[in-house]
Amino acid sequence: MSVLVLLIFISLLGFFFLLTRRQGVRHIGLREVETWKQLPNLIGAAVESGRRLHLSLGHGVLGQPDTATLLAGLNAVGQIATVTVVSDKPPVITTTDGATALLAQDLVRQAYRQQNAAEQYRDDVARVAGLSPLSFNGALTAVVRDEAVAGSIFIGSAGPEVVLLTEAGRQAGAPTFAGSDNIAGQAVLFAAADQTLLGEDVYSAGAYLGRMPAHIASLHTQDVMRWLIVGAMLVGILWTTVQALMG
Amino acid sequence: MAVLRCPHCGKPNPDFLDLCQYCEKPMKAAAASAGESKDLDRLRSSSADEGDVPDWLKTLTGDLSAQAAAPAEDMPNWLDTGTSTPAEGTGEALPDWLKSLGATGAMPFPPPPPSAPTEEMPDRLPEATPAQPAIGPQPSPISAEPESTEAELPDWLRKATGPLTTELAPPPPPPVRPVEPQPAEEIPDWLKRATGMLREKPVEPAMPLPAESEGLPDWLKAATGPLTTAFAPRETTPVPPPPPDVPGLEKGELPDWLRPMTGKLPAVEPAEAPARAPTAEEARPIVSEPSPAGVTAPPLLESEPDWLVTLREVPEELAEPEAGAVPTPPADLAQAELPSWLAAMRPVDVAPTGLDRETDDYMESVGVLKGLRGVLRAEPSVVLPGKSATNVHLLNYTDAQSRQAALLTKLVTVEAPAPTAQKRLALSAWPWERWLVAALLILSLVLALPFGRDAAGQEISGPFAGLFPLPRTAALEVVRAFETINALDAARPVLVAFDYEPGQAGEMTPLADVVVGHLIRRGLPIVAISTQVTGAGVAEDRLARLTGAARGRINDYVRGVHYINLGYLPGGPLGIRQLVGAPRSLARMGLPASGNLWETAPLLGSVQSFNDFSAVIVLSHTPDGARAWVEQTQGTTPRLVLATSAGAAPLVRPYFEGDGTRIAGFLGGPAAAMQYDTLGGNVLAVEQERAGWSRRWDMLGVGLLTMAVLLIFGNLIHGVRRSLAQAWRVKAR
Amino acid sequence: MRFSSPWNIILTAVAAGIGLVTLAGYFLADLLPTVSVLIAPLLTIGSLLAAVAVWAGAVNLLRIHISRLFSQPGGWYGIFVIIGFLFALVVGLLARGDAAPELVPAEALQIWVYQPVIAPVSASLSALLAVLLTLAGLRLLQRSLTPASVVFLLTAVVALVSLAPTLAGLPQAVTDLGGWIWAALSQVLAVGGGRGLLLGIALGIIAAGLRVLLVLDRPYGD
Repeated sequence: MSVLVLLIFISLLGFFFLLTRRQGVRHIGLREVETWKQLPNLIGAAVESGRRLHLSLGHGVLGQPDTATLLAGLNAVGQIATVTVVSDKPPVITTTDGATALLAQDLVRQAYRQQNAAEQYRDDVARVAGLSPLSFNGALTAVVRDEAVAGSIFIGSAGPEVVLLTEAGRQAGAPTFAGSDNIAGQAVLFAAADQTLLGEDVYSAGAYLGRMPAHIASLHTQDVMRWLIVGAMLVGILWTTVQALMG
Repeated sequence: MAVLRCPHCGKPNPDFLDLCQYCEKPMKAAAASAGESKDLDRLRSSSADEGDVPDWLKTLTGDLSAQAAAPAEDMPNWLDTGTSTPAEGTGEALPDWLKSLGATGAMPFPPPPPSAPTEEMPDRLPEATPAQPAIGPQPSPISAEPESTEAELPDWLRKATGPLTTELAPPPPPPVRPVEPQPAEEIPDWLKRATGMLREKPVEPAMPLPAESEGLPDWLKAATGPLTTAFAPRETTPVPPPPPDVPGLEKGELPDWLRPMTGKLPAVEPAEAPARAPTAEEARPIVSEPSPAGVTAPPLLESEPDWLVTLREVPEELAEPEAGAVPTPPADLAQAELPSWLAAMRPVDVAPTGLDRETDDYMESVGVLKGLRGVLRAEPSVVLPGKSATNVHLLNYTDAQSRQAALLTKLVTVEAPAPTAQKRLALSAWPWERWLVAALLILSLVLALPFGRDAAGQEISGPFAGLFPLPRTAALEVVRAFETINALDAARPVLVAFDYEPGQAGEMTPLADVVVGHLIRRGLPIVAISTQVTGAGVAEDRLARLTGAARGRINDYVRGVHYINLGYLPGGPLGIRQLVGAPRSLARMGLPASGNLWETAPLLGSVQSFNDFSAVIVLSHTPDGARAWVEQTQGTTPRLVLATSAGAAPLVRPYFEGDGTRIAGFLGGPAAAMQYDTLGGNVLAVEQERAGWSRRWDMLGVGLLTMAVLLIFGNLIHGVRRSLAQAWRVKAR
Repeated sequence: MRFSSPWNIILTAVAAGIGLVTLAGYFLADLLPTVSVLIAPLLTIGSLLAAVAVWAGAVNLLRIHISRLFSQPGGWYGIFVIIGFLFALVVGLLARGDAAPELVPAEALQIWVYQPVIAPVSASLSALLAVLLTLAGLRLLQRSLTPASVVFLLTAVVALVSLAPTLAGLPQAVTDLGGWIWAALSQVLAVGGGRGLLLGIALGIIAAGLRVLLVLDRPYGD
């Protein structure tokens, strides 16, 4: 029950930030994330060079714990696809999950429809590259090389095997911007990727790329909750210490 | 859309029309020269000094005069509009937007020669025709003034000025676009002498007259006034007066060529030649108000009504001045000067646009309305096929913009080709770093293996063999795992989750071998399952190998009786949740002919709920896999033993420390497997297998230490190189 | 909130409804037994859909490779994927999948596919992973020379040394010191940092889930 109360509290907090943002009561800025800041440059370079971008959703599967990461990745895919459909070549989206591939196709189709270019949409824009994490990342090396991508944007679940992608991008001269919800994957990406999203930054694509009010309100809610958790932990440590000292 | 100017009325027409849509006269005959001279006019009108060019552009492009002296091959195509021989090889280097700009763009010309004899004027003019390139290394003789071609002259004027072209300078044609007034200093002397007073631009009646247009002699005014009144269309080029020094032309006399005309005109007293500078009034265009006055067409029908006759015979004094005509003040009235405050309030938007008026002065040529102007046509122009005559494709730009575009063009055309990247040497292109790292790693691993056996049958050990002795102690969580499995009820099956891929078998196989081997040694029924697609194959492989190794020595395990592989469990945590909730509701395996596995397999007969399992062994390579089992099996009674990779261990350990009752044991990495083996859990604990484990242990230690050394030295080298490069850049700067 | 078609309204209602029912089943099982009854069939449907998604993914993979066979240079490599897919499919369908002690030939073939094909290929990729991870760490300071990268490098070196078995002949004090360092690193710093990151990730997951449940985010349609 306490978890339910916590969820309701977070929901109310999110609605509060959403309403205040919509009413313009207070405009809280977003902290700077270098990856999101550099991402438009990568997209612009890809569009201008006439090459396609590689967007990867990792080896997450809908319905599993990394569903939220998948949704964040799909959000980023939608935002980026809207921009890159004006390019000569559409982006190529890779995933391990068939359902996710269908969702990604739908997002890109929407982006084309919004740009009045629905006739240029092709179904092979989203593809299942492999069914297991290792085979998936191994297949991404071929995608980077064969599709001559201008860069890879990886937002999803990734383990240490994601180094196969970053190394392929390095060889092909295609930078890799990546974020993962996996701790080991983040460690590898920190060392191997050109830009890395750490921690919950991977969920902030909608706020930074799309400036969506709901997503920005979510970020503010997370910030508030983080400080509340930090405060609770400090209080707990203090209380435990005092109890120990008092015997 | 190209525009043709009618050679008769001077109005713009679409290029696909054969007849002028205003005067309905053929205009194709002179279309080419008229259209091309238009571009030339534009080019000429844009020539000006470089004062407006920004300094940065000057520095980039160098002297503009140098550009003029450049060979014609350097000129982009769009600059060759007026030439018939476009330069080759430059158009492709231009971007499309610049090419399109060039369609109407202008190019600064080199200044004309300081002077030229008047007699050369007629000869020089053809040089500007499309037959000869007007742009080239040679200085252009064309001045900044617009120039005329015969094709643009109406017929009547061509006839009238025919003799003048031989004796006098031809009048300038109407400009295609507004031209900024050029200071008189920029006009070369030869042209000044040649054109004299003719340099005035043809203007619309509503336009203010430039002061330079003054000087029309009275004699010509008097002579040409009635002429134009009688014959000229409304818009025409002013007839230039002869210069004072025209030979054989005395003051008050009409030239010979004009005399025959006067016979058809009302008698006009020849005026005296002006002894003073002509006033603005005098300098008004000679033909400014075409009026039907004086035009008396013979009646077509004898029964023509009187009102129509009356309409044709409108007295000249009653004829309304045309809209927009400048009223002429009486000569004896002094022009009042506006006070400054009132002058400041004068609207600025009434300034002449310089564009041709689109007033329809169509004159009916047939029927009872023949000879009348301004009548409605039987076919309005709007229903006539054709495109809009509005010259929409012309860009309005200033001379400064034109010059800057030209300089930009030069920047593009003369830009040095981008240096091509030097072909990398095969040695540097080769990924030697990757191969070096791989070679060092492989070498270190190989050196931990025995090289063979000597004559006595003893192994020849590698230099790194035996560096890392097998552990003799075990961690607490390993001991607890061992004790938990040792205490399990032999009658109840154990669920083993093989949640790792074949690629992770190198690290996970020792863990699986020691734990499952312990189960086999104890004779516990085993039910295998996997939430990984390829995990089912891993489970089948390990179970087959372990039961086979134990067969005849420890326990004889029979497939389907003592162990079974349920295969892949889809859905991840959802599937686990479903398994926990109702294990027998899981999808049937195999073909329908095989029946329901849960009913045919004796081993599964005792499993009615998840709590019928005595324990759950989770072999997971990732913390997520272990976490899913821990979280989804909450509230159940089977005890959990977690065996994870070394990388996942730090993140899984908190579960073990937080719920030590349900999570009965924890193994993290190959080291834990070795510790478990020391407790006697491995079913393969024969001497030969122990030697294999010892070698694997050595290889693990050597490999990890080699990696650490590579990281240290590699980063040292790269860090030093980076620092040196930075220091060199700073020094170079 | 705008919907481009009534179909999207239905999709949104279904997604939000199922999400709320599932959530309520977890938290209100005691108060609302009816809701908890609904959870089992929903989970079954979810598992089946997940299996169907795997099938859809396999078909997508096959389709992409077929389309690339003749359209791309080097696309002919896909012939191996197609052959492997069809082989595994036929063998899997022929396997009995029962509890008989002896394997039928199709089942033996399945194991044969695993042992000499899948396992070596995966092991090779894992070995390559080790090389590439070393290479990435080796270039760390070449890419960015920052305090964070230096700390990262030192931590990686300490972890590698600590994970290695104890060298023979090392003094006990050194071994104890190494053990203490590794324990502090893996059980204090790593766990603390990992928990902090996981808390942040959990907050992000909660926020993303709530956005979907409250129909503020609709990845399944516009």
